[in-house]
Amino acid sequence: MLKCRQIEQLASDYLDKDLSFRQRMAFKLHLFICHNCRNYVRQLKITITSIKLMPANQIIVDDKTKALAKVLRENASKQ
Amino acid sequence: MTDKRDSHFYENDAALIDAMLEGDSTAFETAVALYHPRMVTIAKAIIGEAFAEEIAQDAWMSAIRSLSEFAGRSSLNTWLIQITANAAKTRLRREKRQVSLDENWQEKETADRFDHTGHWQEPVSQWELETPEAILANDQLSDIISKTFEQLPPQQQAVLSLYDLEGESMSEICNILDLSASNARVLLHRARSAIQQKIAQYQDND
Ligand SMILES: [Zn+2]
Repeated sequence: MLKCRQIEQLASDYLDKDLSFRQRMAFKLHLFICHNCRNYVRQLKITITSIKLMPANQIIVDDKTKALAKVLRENASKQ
Repeated sequence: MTDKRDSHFYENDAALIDAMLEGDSTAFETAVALYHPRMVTIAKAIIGEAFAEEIAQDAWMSAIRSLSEFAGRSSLNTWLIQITANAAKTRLRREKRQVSLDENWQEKETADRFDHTGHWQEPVSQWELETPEAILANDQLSDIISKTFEQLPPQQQAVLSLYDLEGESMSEICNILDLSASNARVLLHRARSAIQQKIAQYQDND
C-alpha cells in the first residue's frame, strides 16, 4: 500500500503518464481511499496547466539587453 | 532605460532572423530579450552560476557567425539552447572539476509535509480558485507563479522550462542538460511542487 508521501513523490509521473501499470493501479487505489491525496493531485494538475499557460507576451528590453544586442549587431556586420 | 515590448513583434523565427541579417537593431534587441535569459538558465544548469553569463554570450557570438546558415530545421530557441548547452559542456570538461549545483535545495524544500507514518501533516484542501484561468486572472497569484519560477534552482528551472513551457521530450532534455532520466524527472517534480506549494499557501491564507 502506498503512503501519502509516496503519492506526493509519484504525482508528476502519474500525471505525465509515466508510471508502470502496477504503479498506476496502486496510485489510483490510494486516491480512491485518500481525500487529501485526491486534493493534492488535483492541485498539482492545476499548477502544471497554470505553468503551461503562463503569459509570455511581453519581453523586457533593459540596458544590459541593449548593450549585448549592440555588440552582436556590430559583430554580425563585420562578417 | 527599460522598454517593454510585445514578444510577437516578429511574426516568426524566419522574420526575426531576416531582420537580424539586415542589421536591424530592434531585431537584435528582441532576440536577446527573448532568448538570452533562457540561455543563461541552461548554462547555469550545466556549469553553475560563475561561468553562465560568459558562456551564453559566447554562444551568441557563434550563433551570429552561423546565423545565415541556420536553416530552420529546429526552432531558433532550440538551436540557441543547443549551442549554449554544448558550449557549457565543453567548458565544464575544460574546467575539469565538478561544479556543485543546487546545493541547498534539499533541506529547504522538504520541510516535511508528512508525519512519521507517511501521512499528510496538514489536511490538503480543495482550492477556491479551481482552474488555471482563475489562477492566472488573479494578479497576485500570477505574480507569485512567475517569481517562484524565476527563483527556482537553475537545473529545476531549466527542466521545467524545457518540458512544460517548450514541450521538449524528456530524452531530449536529458541529452541537452546531461542528466539521467530519473534525475530529470525528480527535478521536474520538485520545480512543479515548489510552485504548487506557493499557490497553496496563498489560497489557504485567503
Ligand atoms: Zn494519501
